Amino acid sequence: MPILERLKLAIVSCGFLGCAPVMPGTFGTLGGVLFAYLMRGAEPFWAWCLGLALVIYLITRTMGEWAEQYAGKKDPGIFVQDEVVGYLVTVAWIGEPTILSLACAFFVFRLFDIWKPFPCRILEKVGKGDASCARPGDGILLDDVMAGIYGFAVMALLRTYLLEPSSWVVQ
Amino acid sequence: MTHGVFRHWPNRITAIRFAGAIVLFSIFASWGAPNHEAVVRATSTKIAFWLFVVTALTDYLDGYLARRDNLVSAFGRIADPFVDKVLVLGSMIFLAVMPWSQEWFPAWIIVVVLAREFLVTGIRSYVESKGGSFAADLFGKIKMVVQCLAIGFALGRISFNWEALGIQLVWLSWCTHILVWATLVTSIGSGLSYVFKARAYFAGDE
Repeated sequence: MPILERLKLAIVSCGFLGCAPVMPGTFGTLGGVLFAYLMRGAEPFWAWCLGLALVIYLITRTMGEWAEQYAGKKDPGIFVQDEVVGYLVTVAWIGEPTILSLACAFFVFRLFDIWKPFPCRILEKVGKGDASCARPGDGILLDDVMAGIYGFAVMALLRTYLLEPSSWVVQ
Repeated sequence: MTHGVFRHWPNRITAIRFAGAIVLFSIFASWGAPNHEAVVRATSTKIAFWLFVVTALTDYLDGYLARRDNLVSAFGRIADPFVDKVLVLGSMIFLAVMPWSQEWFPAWIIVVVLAREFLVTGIRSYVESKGGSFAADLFGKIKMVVQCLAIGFALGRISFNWEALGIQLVWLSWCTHILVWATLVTSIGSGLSYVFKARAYFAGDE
């Protein structure tokens, strides 16, 4: 495999996490967990998360066609940067990124990513037509961004009622 | 696991829920025969509560995804109700034997609930062997929700400091009592509704 191809594969699969033979989406999300954990000291955390999500989005949206050609199918399993972007949106407002809150966000995001509630399944089809300026990469990424927004809402509720130690009713 | 029954998420969710039920029972078993003081607001109690909540809430998800994405499988049709029954009946049996929760879960109620499950399973396999369809009806679903609420209230009551939120423990105790009795009523009621529905199959069969 030429070095450029290998580099593209490394990028879309988040360091080959998406090449996992089983459940690539779940492994890919772990890449997001790693990013969020590495940024735990950054202030303000939400800006770093959303900023990194935006950068990853803009880089990887151009690689959707390549990934689909490489894998030979639509929304290929090796492309896991959509999960990374969605996870970073989910954790953007969890307050202190602790092991507990990051793990909780991991399950919350995977739930919405698998469930794909409205309008995720409409967003999946973005960029499939010729007439729009959207690219196939947008379709791959946007449904996970939407799942991330749902996850963001759930994590905001959990933060308010559970994960924030000051409001934790448990003693 | 790119092939076989675990290729798609609905069956994976069913398997994960089963694993969750096993972990929940392991927590109960590790407690031994605890009194109220030993389990109230313990970390393992909170883990057990949240584990039960997530496992019970995802009951709807696997079936919903399977129907929506045309992934209905024989494995799922057998495994999903199996996991539901293991989770609910298993939890109720543990709650009936542990000293802290015996007050709310009399053993005889669990026996009635179990008997209803055996009866309905027997009727279902007979009706389906005759080519009839025997899907769970609304009454059966209400029964499942009431059972899960009863278990959730029993575990939730000892998991958190409700009094700090202005909620009296005695109210939660009464809610649990009522929910357990509602479990009995809905179990018998939905069992009878299945018996009446299946009467057509018995009538023509000597």
